[in-house]
Amino acid sequence: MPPADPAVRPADDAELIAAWLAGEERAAAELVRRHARALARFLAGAGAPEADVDDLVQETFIRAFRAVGSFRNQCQFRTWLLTIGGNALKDLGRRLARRRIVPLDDQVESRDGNPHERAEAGETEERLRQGLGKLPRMQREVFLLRAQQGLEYDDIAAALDTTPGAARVHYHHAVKRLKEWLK
Amino acid sequence: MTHDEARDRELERLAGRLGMKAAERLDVEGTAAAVVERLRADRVARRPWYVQSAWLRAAALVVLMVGAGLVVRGRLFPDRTPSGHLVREELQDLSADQLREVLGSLDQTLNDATIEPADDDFSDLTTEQLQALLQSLEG
Repeated sequence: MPPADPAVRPADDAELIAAWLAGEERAAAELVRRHARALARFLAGAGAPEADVDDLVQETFIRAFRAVGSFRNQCQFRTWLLTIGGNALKDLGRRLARRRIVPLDDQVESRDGNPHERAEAGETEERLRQGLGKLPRMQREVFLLRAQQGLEYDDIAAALDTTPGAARVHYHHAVKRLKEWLK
Repeated sequence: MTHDEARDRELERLAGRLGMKAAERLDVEGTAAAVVERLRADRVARRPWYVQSAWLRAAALVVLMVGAGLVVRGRLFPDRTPSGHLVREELQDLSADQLREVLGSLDQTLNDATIEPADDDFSDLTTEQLQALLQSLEG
């Protein structure tokens, strides 16, 4: 197979970020296309109510683009984006708690959605979602970034401002607790 | 593979599937369009006040009005009094005789008590002195 023509190589995230900072709106749209589904998966896995996932995805991208000038490639753009999503989800939980719609402890657990769909999702998957909702935030995010998104500990640690060793410990604690929960 | 390892694998498999439905339901193109629209509004709102279009239009209007005023003024009053600087340059080109002639003509119209050159002739004055005298009369 002939080597790919470098002239048609798709722009990487760093190039798209630079283009966006130079005022190119299409670059922002391309970054959304590239990472929106992974972000939605992360948010849903972290307990975002199904009805709020779309809004949270948008909110996360808006926050990310506003702050992208401070992104220094310390980790992958996606990893950085997912941690911003985690913050947006936490803020949503606070807002919901203030409105007393759901109890504080269960603020990020999904309580709505179509019951038929939830049944389809499978009992074990639902149990896992519940178990994740009971983990401390750091353990939950490290677990999802590693097990769901397949990211490396170095990248996770850089995004969460911790060390790779600490990220590994958080992951193993999360796995241990989830296995107990799923017994 | 031990039982514990099998459970680890199963957990990772489940985690990998978590949120799949939410991702499939997401309207990616709609999300991209909405994000770009919000970012565009954000950029407009964050522009400095002087870059915003309403202020630019007002500033352009002021510039046009001032420019038009200057043009009209220039057409209504085309002959302005020459400045002292220009008069001084013209005096440089005159000879001593010409300067005496100019002073003589001035003598007939000026009644300034501090100068009173009427009954004197200017034959004793050098060219520089005559120029200085004319400049002082110019003010």
